[in-house]
Amino acid sequence: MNIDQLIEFIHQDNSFMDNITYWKTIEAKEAVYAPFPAWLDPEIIKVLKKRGIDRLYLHQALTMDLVNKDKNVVIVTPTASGKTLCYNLPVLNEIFKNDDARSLYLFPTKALSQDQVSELHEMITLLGRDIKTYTYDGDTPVTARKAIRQAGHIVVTNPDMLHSGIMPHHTKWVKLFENLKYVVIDEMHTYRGVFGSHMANVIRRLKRICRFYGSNPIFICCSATIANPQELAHRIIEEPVELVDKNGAPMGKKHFIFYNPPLVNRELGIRRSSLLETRNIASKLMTNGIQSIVFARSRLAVEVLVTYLKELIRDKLGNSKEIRGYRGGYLPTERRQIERGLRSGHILGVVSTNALELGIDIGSLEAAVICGYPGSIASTWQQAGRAGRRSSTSMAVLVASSNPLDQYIIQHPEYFLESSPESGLISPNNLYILLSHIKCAAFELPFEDGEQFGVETLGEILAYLEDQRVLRHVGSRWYWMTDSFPANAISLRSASEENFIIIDITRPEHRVIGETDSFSAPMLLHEEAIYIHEGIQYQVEKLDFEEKKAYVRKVDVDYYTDANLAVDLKVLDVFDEYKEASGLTKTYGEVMVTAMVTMFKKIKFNTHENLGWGRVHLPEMEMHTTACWFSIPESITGQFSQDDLQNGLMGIANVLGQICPIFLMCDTRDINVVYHTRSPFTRMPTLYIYDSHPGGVGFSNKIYEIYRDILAKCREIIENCTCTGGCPSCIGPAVGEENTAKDIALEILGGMLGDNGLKRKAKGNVYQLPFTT
Amino acid sequence: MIMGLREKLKAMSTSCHLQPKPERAEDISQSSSDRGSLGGRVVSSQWGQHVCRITKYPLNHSYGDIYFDGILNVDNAQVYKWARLEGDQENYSMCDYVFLDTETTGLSGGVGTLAFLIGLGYFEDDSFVIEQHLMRDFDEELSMLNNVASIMDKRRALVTFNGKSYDYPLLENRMIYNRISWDMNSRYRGFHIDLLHPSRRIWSSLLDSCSLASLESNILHAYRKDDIPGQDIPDIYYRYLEDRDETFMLRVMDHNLMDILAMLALFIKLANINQNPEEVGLKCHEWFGLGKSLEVQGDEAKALYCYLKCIEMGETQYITLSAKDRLAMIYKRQGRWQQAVQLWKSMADREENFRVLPLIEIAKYYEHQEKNYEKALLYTDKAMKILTHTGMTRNAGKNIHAVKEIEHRRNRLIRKRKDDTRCL
Repeated sequence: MNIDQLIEFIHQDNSFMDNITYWKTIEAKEAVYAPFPAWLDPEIIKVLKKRGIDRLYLHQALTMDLVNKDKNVVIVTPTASGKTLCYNLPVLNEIFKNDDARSLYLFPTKALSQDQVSELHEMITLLGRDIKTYTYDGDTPVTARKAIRQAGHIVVTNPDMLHSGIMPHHTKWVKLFENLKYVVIDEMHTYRGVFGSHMANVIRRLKRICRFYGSNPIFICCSATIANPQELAHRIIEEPVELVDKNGAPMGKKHFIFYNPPLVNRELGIRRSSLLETRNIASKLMTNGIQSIVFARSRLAVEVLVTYLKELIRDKLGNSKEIRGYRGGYLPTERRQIERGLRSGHILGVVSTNALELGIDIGSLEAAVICGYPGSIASTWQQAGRAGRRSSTSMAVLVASSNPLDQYIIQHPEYFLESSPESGLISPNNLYILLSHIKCAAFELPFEDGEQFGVETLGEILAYLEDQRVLRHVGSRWYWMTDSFPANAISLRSASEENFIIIDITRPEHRVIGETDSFSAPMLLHEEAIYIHEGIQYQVEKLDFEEKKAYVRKVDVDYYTDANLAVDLKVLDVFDEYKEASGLTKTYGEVMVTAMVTMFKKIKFNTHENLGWGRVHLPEMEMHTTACWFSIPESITGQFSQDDLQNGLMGIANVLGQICPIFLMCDTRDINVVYHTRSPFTRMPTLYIYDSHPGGVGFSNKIYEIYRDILAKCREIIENCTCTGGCPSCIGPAVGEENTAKDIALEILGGMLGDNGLKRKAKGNVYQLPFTT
Repeated sequence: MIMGLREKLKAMSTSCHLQPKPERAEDISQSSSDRGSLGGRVVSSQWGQHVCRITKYPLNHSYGDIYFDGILNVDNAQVYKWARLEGDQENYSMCDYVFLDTETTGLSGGVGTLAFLIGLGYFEDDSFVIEQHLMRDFDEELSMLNNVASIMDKRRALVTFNGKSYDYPLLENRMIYNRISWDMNSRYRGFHIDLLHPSRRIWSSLLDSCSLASLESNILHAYRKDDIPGQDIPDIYYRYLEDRDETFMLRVMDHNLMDILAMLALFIKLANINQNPEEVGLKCHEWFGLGKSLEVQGDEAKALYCYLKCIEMGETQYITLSAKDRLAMIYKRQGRWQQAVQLWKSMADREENFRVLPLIEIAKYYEHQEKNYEKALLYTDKAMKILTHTGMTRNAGKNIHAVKEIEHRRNRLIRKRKDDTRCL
């Protein structure tokens, strides 16, 4: 069956259609063309024609026109719409006019940089000019660096390298900074939240250095669809930006299917596993030879799915085409190989985390299956957009898991389809982030009295740093006076400490097969853990925590392991506190979070039975961060037994953790919820919500302000869930015999909101979301 | 509750473990009139002010064992060889040399690190003159650098210790930053002698550390009293900026002065060793180091002589064996097989031999020169035995490679032996 036949077939299949909550068809779209601009060098046009490009798409022409008028531009286009030409052509044209002109390309990841360079090289080879394009990142050999600094026309790098490897050494990059004409910021939508706030400050520093060397570059930004591309671009570069969002690229017909796994037990609210349903759908696609991508939310889920799919596809296809996994932790060469295989069609299916959400060039696939709501509307569209060809039909299936957010989305697809994708929010003046970059900026160039850097209170911050003996004010300048290299102490991405490497010792020649970040390492690489890589099972024999190395050996077992993370929290300081009329006290302050992997379970493949468990002995991980917490008074909780209280709080915590990200426009991993039935600090039952980033980045502060909306939404979700005593889609699986947890949770929430008398009145308009704008 | 910016910053600094430094007594006024002159004089110009201290030494002065008039015997052409200078050979006299050493505000690198004290040594009117230029605060950098640039502009041959990777790039960056015309591509390209590398070639087998301090006491026999440890220098400068107490800064200046004197002495010593090794009276280790250095320069005949001297003195076994290895390789390259094989055998036949290299070389000799596969196999097996007995645990990766190579050789030899017997 080809894809059209398969879609027809699914339509006829009642057992499948019963689980579909919505089927959206997006009609095909014709291309809109525009001629080459008159100013484009004839030689460049000649090469484009040689590559089969006879004219431009509308958005490409519009962008080039604006760039040519020295305007900053942000382009919003879907995947595979030819956006790279939008910036490559003006950049190359400029070098044709002036051989000294320099450009800087910024990509969020190294992998993307490499893709770009290979494409540019192709173009330059055809042009037959000596235009030097180099990738400058952590992998660039030291011997090549000098040449790049002096002679690179186009320097391709990532924000991290710009921040710690280029700007703190700007005197070595005189040629680049004196002649910088264009700065390209691709995948701009990834610069949200913490990363985006850092990025905006990196750009402030970049512009400061450019001013010092007398250049004033034009910014060309590219973004996937988000609600506020122009605003985000403006906040990152802090200059007027023109928006180009008229997509001229053609698009085939597309089906977007919402799939909710059937209920197995209505009372307990248990649905069939989204993982197994995804497996079934994906195998149906792949056995029909439809090139597909499957997105899963965790690394473990990726590996489990790869294992399943390899097993299922092997028999029927005689293993002629490959199924591969793709995630952070695979080595770069392995990833390149997978990307090539996807482009060439040699690889039939790939299971990936959101690592492939970014614009890595894997060509366009026919189908995408998304296992679990990715957490944001923008991510969902991006993942669905991986399937989509210019001339033929494509399909995307969203398979809901049973967590509250997924169930809300799958049961209210109109919310998903009608609301705009999330806004990219950043807060460049977050004091924690700003202060870090002010230090870096002062290291790079002394601040002048009266200089601007983001905030009006710069003078005050500089004076503070002088008190701390970090800066010294002499004459009218503020000089760096510390023996340290501030950029090294600041990571633009919060969780990117040194990685653990994974070493296969099955054969006498030890071999590195992967890596993982230090936060995930205790979960994935504790001793006896089954580490699955490319569907092959390895057992961890030894974890060298100090050296950050895990030694694994190939095994063949019928289970995988899942580790338990025990999290606890201690209050360090209170910044602000307020007592509501209801007796509820809300507090904003600083906490120390400790996380420790204590045990792991062995889970059988396919049946997911628990086969046993083991202990893990690893050191605790500690983090200082900011948190918001609610201490619930006796008047609300006094009536409950200890067990009931525990179940009620656990239920609320479960929903809170899922719902807060919608209000904060962040990832579910950006915040965490912990509860104490009696907090050693407040001496009351307490719910804590903390930022998952060291030092905090303002999420808990925001919760402190808008907590009533969040608690009300929690109540609404619990109230409207169809289960009787709790289920994974609201407060978590039912506990105890009496099934009272749901009522208790509602009682507590009502008490916290101080309107138990009015409860259940709002039932009529439950799905009015206060936060859709 | 509204928190002031300062309280927020304070709250944050505790949360991210920024150790606030202890508050000090009230800042002393920072106007330049209160800045002392640290035993030098204040230089004023259109660029502002800074301090310069000048110290002169007559040529009959010495540092450690080395008299400064030794500079008169330095052979320009020889320097090109042992310092491995790349540019076209030019003649320059002792007046062209400038010795450079800087003290910096930090050791972390990057544009935020400044040189606050720049010491320059040069010869003028039969004296060795040391000019030390110091910025007493950050606003004096421009004045200091302009003066330094004008002195360095007049002298073509730069001498430093570890200056290629440290002092010189740092200075260059500060010049660029301050827009002082400084042609980074042509200046000192051919004339920068970094004494660290020639010193390492000669003394690395003798000394654990080839730092200037170690060379000074072990080679030059100069001993400093009350010297300031290098890593304390940035902090001393920062403290001086705040309290203007000159006591420790004067010691930093003396440290810088000694470093330049030591560089001059080391330069003369290196020139002597390379020019007249016999007269200097070298130790066994030094003969070996000199041999290596000469080999790098491509002077095999002289290197051979040095290795023979080293073996003849035979002070320690490790060095002697290393010298024999190198000597044998020279014989091999020159086709003097008898001498080479004799050396290898002298090493291989010792009872306590754990070294694979001579065995492999003998095996190669029998295989390729004598075509005696039987004997070649014998030595290959000996090598294999040593490797499998000693090497497997240590340095496993490298050994696996070596074992594979030997296995490969062994298989080839067995094949050849078979072919041989068949022919017969």
